[in-house]
Amino acid sequence: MHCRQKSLNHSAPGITAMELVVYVGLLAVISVFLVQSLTMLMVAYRRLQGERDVVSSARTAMETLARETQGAASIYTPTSVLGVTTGQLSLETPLNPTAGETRSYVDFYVDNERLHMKREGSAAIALTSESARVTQFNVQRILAGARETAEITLEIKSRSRGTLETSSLVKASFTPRGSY
Amino acid sequence: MKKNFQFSIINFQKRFHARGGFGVIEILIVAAMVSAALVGFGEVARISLRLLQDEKAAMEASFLIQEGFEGVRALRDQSWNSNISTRPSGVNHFLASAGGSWTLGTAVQPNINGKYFRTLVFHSVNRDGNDRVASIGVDDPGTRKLTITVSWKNRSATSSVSASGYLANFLQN
Repeated sequence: MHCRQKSLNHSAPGITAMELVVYVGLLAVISVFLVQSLTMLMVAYRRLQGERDVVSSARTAMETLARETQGAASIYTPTSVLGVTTGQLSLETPLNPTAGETRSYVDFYVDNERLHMKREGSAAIALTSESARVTQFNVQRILAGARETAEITLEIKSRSRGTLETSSLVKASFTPRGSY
Repeated sequence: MKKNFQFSIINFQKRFHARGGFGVIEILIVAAMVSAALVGFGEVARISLRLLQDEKAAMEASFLIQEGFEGVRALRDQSWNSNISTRPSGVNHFLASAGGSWTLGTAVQPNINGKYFRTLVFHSVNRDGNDRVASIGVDDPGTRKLTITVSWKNRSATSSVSASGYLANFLQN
């Protein structure tokens, strides 16, 4: 009977408790590491995406503002909203005039947390990504004699909140050169 | 005890191999490879994030340089003789806007947006016998060279961008 028991045990070897503990322990450590790595990776990619949206929106908006302002004849003060957090810049420009006119007007303003450009007689175009939000578009009119300059402070933030939020605060000035 | 343990692992593997399945060793190897890949991706994401943040800072600084040139050009248009020609060469100047007008002086200004330090340096311009800009020649009072530098703290180091350009008294004012 004793011999038979021994023979049965050898023909079907099992796994010892020590092995099981070691395996489960290793798997647990690796699983925790995997989950943590995956979480950190997802956080890093969300921040990366936020940074990219903010940088590309700021660059696009500022380059468009530079091109339009430097091509304009003057800042159109009657409809410009100056010196407030989310203001409006209106330009009188010889670029793309409507039929029968020599000048047209173009407005830059914030609507629904996105910076828009609207030419006279055309639909508004969003200059910033929908995944970024404009929190500041402050326009100041700086004078040096008769020469006027639009000083623009633009703050763009990512849609993500908390620790994932990223932002860019860009300050630049552009002088209308149409009157040169 | 050690011998028994090794023996059991071999048996365990053999049994799983004999059944055509996979053993814990394989699971561990795969998990280690996946972990290594995740660490690699994480490092790529971290470096990409740092590069994007550097790019963002450089972009913000470059717009401040552009602003510097715009401000000085506006002052030049107002009066070359009052605002540009009298500026000493090689001395740091600071541009600011206050009360709706530009101010240019040697008084140090605080960091722009709490981060960027901008200096403007004027240089005299010499012209050779062919009226070309040259390092040695006759001083041209109607032309100045302007170098604008924007610097900022970038993690443990200081980064900066710089640009130079020429200003001419084309309005004769």
